[in-house]
Amino acid sequence: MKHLAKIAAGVSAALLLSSSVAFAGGKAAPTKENFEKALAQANAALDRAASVEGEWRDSRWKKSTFVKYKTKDGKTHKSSFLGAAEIAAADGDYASAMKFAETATFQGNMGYEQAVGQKNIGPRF
Amino acid sequence: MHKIVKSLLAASVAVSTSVAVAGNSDINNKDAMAMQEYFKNKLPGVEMSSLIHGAYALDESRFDQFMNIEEFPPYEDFVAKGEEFYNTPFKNGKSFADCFGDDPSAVKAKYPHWDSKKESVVTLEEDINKCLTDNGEKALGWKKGMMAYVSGYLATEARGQTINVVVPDDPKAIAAYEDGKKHFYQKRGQLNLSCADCHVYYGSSYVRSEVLSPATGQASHFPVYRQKWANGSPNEDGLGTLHRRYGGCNKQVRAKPFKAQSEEYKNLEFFHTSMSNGLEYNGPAYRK
Amino acid sequence: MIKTTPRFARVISALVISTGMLSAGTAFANDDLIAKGKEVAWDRKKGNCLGCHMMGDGAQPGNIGPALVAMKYRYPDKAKLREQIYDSTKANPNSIMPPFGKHGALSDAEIDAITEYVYTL
Repeated sequence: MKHLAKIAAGVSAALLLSSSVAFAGGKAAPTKENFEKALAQANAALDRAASVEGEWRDSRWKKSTFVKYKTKDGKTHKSSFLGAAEIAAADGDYASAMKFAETATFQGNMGYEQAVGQKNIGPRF
Repeated sequence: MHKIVKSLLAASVAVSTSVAVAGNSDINNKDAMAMQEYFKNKLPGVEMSSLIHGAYALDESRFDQFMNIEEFPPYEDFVAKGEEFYNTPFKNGKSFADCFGDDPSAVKAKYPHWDSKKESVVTLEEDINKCLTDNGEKALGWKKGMMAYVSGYLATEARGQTINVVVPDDPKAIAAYEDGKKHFYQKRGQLNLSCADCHVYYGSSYVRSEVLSPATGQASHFPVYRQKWANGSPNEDGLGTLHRRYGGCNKQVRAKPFKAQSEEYKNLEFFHTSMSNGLEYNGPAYRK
Repeated sequence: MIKTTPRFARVISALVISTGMLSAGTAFANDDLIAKGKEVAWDRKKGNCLGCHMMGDGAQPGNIGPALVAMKYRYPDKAKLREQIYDSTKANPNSIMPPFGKHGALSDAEIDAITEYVYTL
């Protein structure tokens, strides 16, 4: 079952990555729709990292307090990147929300590469 | 109660014990010896047996301070609570002795071990909770509180015994061991660090003013009383289990921690504890 | 018409900082960059360089990495120093120095700033 989940994660990640909205230089317009695409993309990348035990701490872990984001009411929230993305989106700040989601995607991709690169590691003595 | 009846009852609610498997893969002892050789070269003049004291074994003044603290250890009261809990019968009249046997000093050294029926590593904390839930009691949290106190009590009872984690000649057991070994050597997290990076290749080096403990001897003294944990606790309770520390270390390198008693951490415990094979149990111990 | 919001200004500043590196500091107040770099280097949650390196007059430095002294001598090419901070695994795949740039632990602007600061040591 775990193996199938890994394949599913990889396939959905590949599909999402190929149909992703171009984010280079913040070109995608900050809309709710684009945010939801970015969120899905982030979760796919993080699922892929998780499938090889390579997920990082602050991407979306519920107990992360790494990212500080101030909502319009002046309150500061501490959460993961995806946590902050959702808070920002709920507050109508889709630009920040998408930036946070982008970072989470980046971390998912990096975590996956890292874990795959470390697959056959052993002692050096 | 008649001794025979008691032992039959014990068998019926018995926790998993090492199923006798012919042969021992011995990979873990080869690995443990190789690691000790590495540290013998890295730390000339340091007795391997003293590494159960971790970083304190490497500096005489720190060792003296440490010994002073261990004279009136801050974990004593909590361990006493654990002993009381261990000796208190369950609502159904049974007790921990029915699961673990009459001799509390014979418990700790059985863990972690490979269970070929369950096809997984079994840890002491796991079987403490199994005993509770098998007897209609509530399970304890895995990382601190009463679980750490009970585990701490059983650790004190086993002090001085020799660590000997066995990896049976069973491909699934070997795979679990290798999985734990991989976790230990793999870089992870945004900070790109492996357990080995700090505790092997730079074991004994300083991070600011803290000394990194060598991996050999690390698992001997758990559950550990960590001053940092005590400082964050309203009643100075610094006791925590091995998996609590695993989670903390993963978080420190900005990796998402695994759940306590997850397969990942049980396999890691399997490997990590066997790296201290041949050394003595000395838990719980104080650490900064 | 592009609105010059504060965010827009920050984006432009970031672009200027990162291109400023290429124009050998003429386009930018270098002292500001060095001060910013020192701040980031000493911040335990950012560079935390003192954790592993002797650096300036920092108390109780770690001894995992080499002391940060004579940097211009050791790195005649400043770009190589920046590369080491950006991704230490390039020079040594087994390095335990976090790949601050590659892993996004520090922004490009922060790495530029730290490079300028460390280069003064």
